Amino acid sequence: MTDAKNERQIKISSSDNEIILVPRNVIRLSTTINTLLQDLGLDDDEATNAEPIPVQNVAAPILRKVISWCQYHYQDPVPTDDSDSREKRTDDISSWDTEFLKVDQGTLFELILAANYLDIKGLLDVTCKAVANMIKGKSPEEIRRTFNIKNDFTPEEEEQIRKENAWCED
Amino acid sequence: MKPRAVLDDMPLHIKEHIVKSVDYETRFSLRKCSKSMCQIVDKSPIHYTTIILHIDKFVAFLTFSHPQKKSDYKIKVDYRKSIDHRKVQVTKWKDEPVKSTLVHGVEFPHLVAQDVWNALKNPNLKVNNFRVVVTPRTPYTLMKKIVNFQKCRLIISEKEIRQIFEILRGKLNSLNHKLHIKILTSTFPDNFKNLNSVLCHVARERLTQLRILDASQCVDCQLWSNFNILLTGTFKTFSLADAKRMISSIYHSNQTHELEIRIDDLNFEKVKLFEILGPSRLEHRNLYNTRIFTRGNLKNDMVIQYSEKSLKVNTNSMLKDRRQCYDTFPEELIFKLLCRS
Repeated sequence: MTDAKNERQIKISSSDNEIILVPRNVIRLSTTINTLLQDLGLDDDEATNAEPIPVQNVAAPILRKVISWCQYHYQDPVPTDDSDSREKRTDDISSWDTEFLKVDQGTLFELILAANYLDIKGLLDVTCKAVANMIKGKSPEEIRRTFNIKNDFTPEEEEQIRKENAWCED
Repeated sequence: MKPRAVLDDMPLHIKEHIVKSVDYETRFSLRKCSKSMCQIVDKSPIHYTTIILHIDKFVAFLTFSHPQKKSDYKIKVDYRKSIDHRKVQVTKWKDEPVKSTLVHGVEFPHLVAQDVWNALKNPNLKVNNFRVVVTPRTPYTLMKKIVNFQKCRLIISEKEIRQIFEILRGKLNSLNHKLHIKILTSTFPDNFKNLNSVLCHVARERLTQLRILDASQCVDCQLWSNFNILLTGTFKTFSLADAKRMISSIYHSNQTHELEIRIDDLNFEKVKLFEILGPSRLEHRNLYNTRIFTRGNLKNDMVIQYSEKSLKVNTNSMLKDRRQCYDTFPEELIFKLLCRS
């Protein structure tokens, strides 16, 4: 991790025009920026890019948080793309990530959107798992309350769903 | 100031990603939250390792098991008719009973049928193994749906098969996939004498696959030549002559057969196996997909699989995963191997 600080820096700018410097190897976790650097021919350049790469969908506080996640994880093995239909595990979040994700719900969803925009698979996975953990074991009413979801079922539709779920309901 | 992001604002694929990380039971809670969540849950693949359905006169069991974390997780629901037959006691189990409810005003099998169908209708449902113990009490509407489900394995008691095929008359002819049926004969030895007539009945229904637990009991059956058959035999009481006769009748029919023989007899000699399955027999055109499983006093367990393209031999004694165990040998080599033995 210490090596990253001595490496080439990439300039990126947030949606609120804050410019952040990030080591090349760290930002490699973002497929979006990686592809952009390669497409613009900036990948072979040794120097820091003069014009910052705009990350227009992500505000500075979230972008800094994303970068701090990347800084901790940039040396991790590349996650495999599992298209398995099986239920994914959610009890394997590392203690560092657990601490990292102790944020309010709005920030968590901003992080998900940022991970999605920047195409950082590991961060997207862990943030989605955190949301899944917030949902697990909750009743429909609790889920609605937690995530501010509006119940748009008619009573008849609700009864139909109840019947369909009958075999699995607690 | 920009409003904070909420779950509803997430792109569809993110919501799907989240749903995939949620256990199946919570998914059912999510279904009840809103229409959009319901649609997302219904689109998400559900993977069960096994669904077992058993409907009998007064009781039915429905078991869903799926891989979760390190161990298999099971939901079992049992349905019991009350003594006055007016109510159904539905009990959900997860290792121990977790919920019991009385359902009024619904016919017992239809309640089970509804629950099974609710699970099966998900287009993304993936089931490795769907075993249905069918009885004449299984509702026809459910049976029609079950046989359409490609991965199902019907398990039918031999004494009830006649009734069940009567129920399914006509339906089986219209199927365009192989229906796997296991007939439980071994537990009803008195019924073996009826097996020929049952097979005749099955043949009329043009079933493509039939698995008989103890094929040695129907060695005289000449009906094998009439339809494709998957035979599983436990040849404990099988003489060599019987085995030869049985295989011969299959070899010389005009149909293409699938033959699966499991030889569990600990005293079954290797030489007998090779006598039954000499190289000339393996070359026979009908034997395009034969699997022979043996164990016992053979030095190593052996699986021989003959297919259109190759002959595969396995000599791994564990046989835990046959797909991994297979080694492919050129035909000449295995013929030599068989001759030398």
